[in-house]
Amino acid sequence: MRRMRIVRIDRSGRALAAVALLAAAIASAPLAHAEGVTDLRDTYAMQARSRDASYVPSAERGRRFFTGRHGADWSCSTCHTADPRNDGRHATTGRTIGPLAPAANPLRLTNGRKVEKWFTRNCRDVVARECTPGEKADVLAWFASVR
Amino acid sequence: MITNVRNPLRALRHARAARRATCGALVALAVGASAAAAPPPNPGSAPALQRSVTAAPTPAATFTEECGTCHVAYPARLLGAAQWMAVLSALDDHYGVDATLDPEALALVARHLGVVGGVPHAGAAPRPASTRAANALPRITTQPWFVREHREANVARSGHRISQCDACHAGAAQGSFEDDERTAARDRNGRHEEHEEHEHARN
Repeated sequence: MRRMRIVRIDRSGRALAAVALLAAAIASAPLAHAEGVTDLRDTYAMQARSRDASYVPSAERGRRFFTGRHGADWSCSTCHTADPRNDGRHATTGRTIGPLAPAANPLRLTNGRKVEKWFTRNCRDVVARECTPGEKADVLAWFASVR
Repeated sequence: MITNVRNPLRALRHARAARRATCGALVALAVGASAAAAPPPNPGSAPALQRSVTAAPTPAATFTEECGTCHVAYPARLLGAAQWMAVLSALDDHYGVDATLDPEALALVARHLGVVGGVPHAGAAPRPASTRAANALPRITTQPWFVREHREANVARSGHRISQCDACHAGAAQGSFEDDERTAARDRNGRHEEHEEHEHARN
């Protein structure tokens, strides 16, 4: 769809159209196959291994991290519940939050930028710092393991 | 676009009332008023959580994506530009939660809310959400016009928070607050439509 639009716009200049087509193809290449939860888990795991070569993602560690309170009142499960197959509820706004487990919500965890954005925001709220790549990979490993 | 009116909802109703009149001058006024009170463009009604962030990053779409995921995408006209500026300047403590945006998204959201001249970067150290005291950010729900409008609404009994506009106003995310309790009651017994028809007949 995107390509067609570009061709129509640049109909007058063939060279320009070719360049635009190429650019569009390059830009859309990473989107051609949606990222899955295991791709994202592996990306974070690779980052974690650059700090600790022995790191291996652990779904059980991820579950404990997600449901733990980290010294304050909130855990991830305060809003998301302790079962990632369930709908959650935003603790301050009351808005329903869709399930995190791809088994229950296939649209979840398909966009790395979005996943990173929410880890950043929510880790600050729950853990009062950004989560480490290992913590993120563990949590994603748990989500991926839930059937 | 921000309309600097004391009561945005009343402005909307006045606009509607004025539209019903056929007098030339009033029609012209109504066009202006309804344009001023027009809701922000709504890019779609699909649940925000399920929308991809790869959609074209227009100000309205970015606002709906970034702000409308956690709460109603409050229409820009409900606060003034200076108030929105205050809200956007403190996204790291957004009524108790971290809602920081990347600079690109922040600029688009600011444009959607009528904030000009850039927003200072929020750089405070993260704190657990539950330990934060309520800050002094502007709130739509404490604006005098809002308090007046909801004087008779029994929000406590509804089981929702007063900030959940869409619990009672089905069109809230589209900027429509016309389906209030009184309107809904009229709709139920059919008198609302009748009333409108009579007005048209009179004119």
